[in-house]
Amino acid sequence: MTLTELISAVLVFSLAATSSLRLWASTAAWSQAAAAREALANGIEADLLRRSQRLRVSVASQPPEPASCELAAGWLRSRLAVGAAALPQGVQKQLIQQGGSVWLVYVASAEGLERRRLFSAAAHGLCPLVPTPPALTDTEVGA
Amino acid sequence: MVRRETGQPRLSRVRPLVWQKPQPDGFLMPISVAASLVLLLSGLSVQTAALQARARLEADLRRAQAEDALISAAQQLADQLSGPFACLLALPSEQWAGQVCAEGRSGAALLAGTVAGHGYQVVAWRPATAEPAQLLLQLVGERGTRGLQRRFAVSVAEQPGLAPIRAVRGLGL
Repeated sequence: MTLTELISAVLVFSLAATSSLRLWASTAAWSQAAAAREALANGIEADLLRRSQRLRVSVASQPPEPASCELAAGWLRSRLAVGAAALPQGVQKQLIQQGGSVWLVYVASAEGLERRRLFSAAAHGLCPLVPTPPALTDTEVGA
Repeated sequence: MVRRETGQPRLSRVRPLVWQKPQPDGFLMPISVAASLVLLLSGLSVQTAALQARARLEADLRRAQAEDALISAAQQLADQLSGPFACLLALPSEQWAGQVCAEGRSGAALLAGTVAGHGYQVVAWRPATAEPAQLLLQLVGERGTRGLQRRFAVSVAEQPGLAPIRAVRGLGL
C-alpha cells in the first residue's frame, strides 16, 4: 500500500460519499414535498366529497321552491358554501355562479394543484320547466 | 529448577491456526471503488423510487381532474337538456344530429363540448324507459385520442310540469 494509493482511495470514496449524500438529501426533500402534496390532494378530495354529499342530502330533504334556475343556483351556492370541515392549509376555495350553475374551485397555488367541479341546478331537479316550442325535425327527402 | 521434557511442543513453538498473509499492494483501491459504487447505487435507487412516487401522484391528480371534467360535463348537459335542448330528452343520441330544438338550435351542438378546458363527446344517450336514462360521456384526449369514459344515470321526471331532470348520478365505467 503506497501513499499514492491511499490518497486516491480516500479521494474516490469521499467523492462518492458526497454525491450519495446529496442524492439522499434531494430525495428526502422531494419525498417530503410529495407527501405534503398528496396530503393536500386528499384533503381537497375529502372536502369535495363532503360538500357534494351534503348538497345531495339537502336537495333530498329540503329542496327549495322552484322559482328559476338562477335562484336555484344561488341556493346551491349557499349549500355548497357552508358546513364542511376546515380546508387544508394553503388551499383556496371559490364558488363561482354562472347562470343556473355553480363552479366549486379549489386552488393550492404553491403546490400547483387545482380541482374544479360544476354543479348545475337542473341536474339536481331544481329548475322549473320552461315551456319550449316543439321540436322541429330536419327531414330531407330524396327526389 | 529442572524443566521436564514431555515430548509435546512448547506453547511458544505452536504455529497459530489462522495465519494471515501480509496484504499485497493495491488492495485499498478496489475496496474504495466497490464501497463508492454501493453508496452511489443506493442513492440512485432511492431517487428513482421517489421519482416514481411523484409520477404516480401526478397521474392520480390528472385522473381526478378528468373525473371532475366528466362529472361537470354531465351537469352541463343536464342543464342544456332541461333548457334549450329539452326536445332531445326523449330521443337517443343517434337522432340528435337531425333535430332542431327551440330557437333554431341544432341537436348536433350537444354531441360535443368543452368544460373546464377539457373537450368531451356524448358517446350515447339512452332515453328513460322503465329505468333512468343513461348518458355515456368520453373525454377527448391529447391529439384526438380516446380519453376517460364515464356512464351516468339520469332520472327524468315522469309527470309533466315538473323539472325535466330530477337527478344525475355517476355509474362508473
